[in-house]
Amino acid sequence: MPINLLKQWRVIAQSFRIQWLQIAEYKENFVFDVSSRVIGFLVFWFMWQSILGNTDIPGWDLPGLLVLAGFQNITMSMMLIFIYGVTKIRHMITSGELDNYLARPVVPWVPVVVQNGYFAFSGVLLGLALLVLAWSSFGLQINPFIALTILLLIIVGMGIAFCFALIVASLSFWLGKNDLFDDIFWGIYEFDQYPTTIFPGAIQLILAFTIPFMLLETLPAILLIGRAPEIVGVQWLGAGVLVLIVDAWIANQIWKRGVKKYEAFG
Amino acid sequence: MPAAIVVKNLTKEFEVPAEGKTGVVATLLRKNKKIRAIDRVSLAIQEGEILGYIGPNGGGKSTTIKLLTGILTPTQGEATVIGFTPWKERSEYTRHIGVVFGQKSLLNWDVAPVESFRLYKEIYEMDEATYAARIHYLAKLFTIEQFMHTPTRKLSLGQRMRCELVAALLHKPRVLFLDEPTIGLDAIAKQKMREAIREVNRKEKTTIILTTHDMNDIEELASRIMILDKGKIIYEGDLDKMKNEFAQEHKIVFEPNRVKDEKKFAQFIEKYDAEQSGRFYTLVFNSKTIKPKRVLDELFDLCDLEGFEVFAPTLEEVIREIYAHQPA
Repeated sequence: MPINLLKQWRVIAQSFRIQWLQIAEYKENFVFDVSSRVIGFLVFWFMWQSILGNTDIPGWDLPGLLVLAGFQNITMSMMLIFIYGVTKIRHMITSGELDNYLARPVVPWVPVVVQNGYFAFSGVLLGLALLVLAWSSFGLQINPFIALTILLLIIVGMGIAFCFALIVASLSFWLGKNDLFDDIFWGIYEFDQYPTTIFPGAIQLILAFTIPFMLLETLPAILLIGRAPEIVGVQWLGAGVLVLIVDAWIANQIWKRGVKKYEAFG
Repeated sequence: MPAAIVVKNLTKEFEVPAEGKTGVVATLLRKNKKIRAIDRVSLAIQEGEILGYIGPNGGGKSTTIKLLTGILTPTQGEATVIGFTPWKERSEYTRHIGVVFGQKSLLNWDVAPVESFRLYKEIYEMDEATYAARIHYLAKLFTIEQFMHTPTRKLSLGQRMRCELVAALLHKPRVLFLDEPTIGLDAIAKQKMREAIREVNRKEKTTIILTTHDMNDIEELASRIMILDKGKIIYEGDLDKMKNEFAQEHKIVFEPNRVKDEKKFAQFIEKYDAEQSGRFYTLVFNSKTIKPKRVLDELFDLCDLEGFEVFAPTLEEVIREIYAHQPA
């Protein structure tokens, strides 16, 4: 699967272009999107101010949470690229619309996911703005090694999250209508509101194999505010790569078997 | 000419819920049963041929197309299309075929068709020069230059379908599968599309399988037809042969002006069991037993006519006739 992805990078690039043109086609919707993200952040921020005013969460103060909010906005916005796309795949499997992509020399989910996903550009911008704000207000521990580690953690985390989404979506080949992913995703999403370090180890482990908020948000924030040595980031990255390899293999096997089972209704 | 497509005993079964009780619990416990959408279909299509593949809804036409494009895997049987087994060599095979599903768009709804063309350019790994030359040729042939930069959702159905065909032909496929490409189009749009398809077939020797409910598509494009019903091929042959074999019931409608011999005219009417409606008579006869010209000669001897018209059966009627001859 990764080899196919590399071969088809031009397909991905053009699919992204189409997605951007779609956003540009509905400019007003883009403005609404930016507004809703700012409101979302303010809700998050006031909630944590209230909680931290009354309780004590070990290792986390408002500057740390500001960095966490930055990574939350960036990664959740980027995840929307495939969350909507994967939802579309499930629909296409059951409605038979996958036909058009199966009849072409392309890994069908590549153009479907990229074109139908939604790159929440506004969320990424807001996330970056929060990180810059935290850096200028409180000072952050940033060096090239940490920056690279964070970048790789986010890429690997995205890969794990995508593979998990594809595995669950591929079950539609057998189940037909399949809302499992929505149920799981929005259930797990609740964890996104908090630093994953506040949960027991077992829950952190489950999150590492599904939507790895630890790799995507908590760990980058911890590294950036200097609450853990750099080696912790590297250890988690190594574990994440192993999980990604296993998840990618499983996703590929299930997808390939699913395509043989595809019944192209409609 | 070598065969482009060879199919032997192709069978496809689907699982559907078995009929039974319709209660809340009963439907949850209901088991599935297997139905055969395609039942041991065998066919051969020559390179450059246009085959009309027709039949009623649910007859198995689209399933055949999906099997031959590699979308579906058959339950049993074999198929070779330009040397490939579609469902086994899908990624390489699909570089050489084009597909248009009349009811499933190849184009992104919110952006201009040209953006979708560019996506297909990347999918088929076309270089910039080849793409530019090809899009120039196809845009002219299908007359889409005026609107290919307009968002797809703002196009009429006819304009969109022409763009769909351009998307399917961009990489110069050797085989083109057209699944109801003219569905919902007006007469002018259909005609433009047929002319362009004919041109592509003539110039590029593209093998085409066409499924349609529009008999004019078949008459104008197909050199040979296959009729599929309940998953089985019930007729295969050229169009003229089929008409000769099954198009036997002719009809003459005439309006007499002056009857020369009332008695003989009455006998003529009785002989052909003609129906009268006002000043018009309609008579139906089998052209295998009596030629239309002989009936007309008889009529001219008996009366002067104000007007008349001879109706040969339409293709739809012929196909109905073929269905009627099938064992239940």
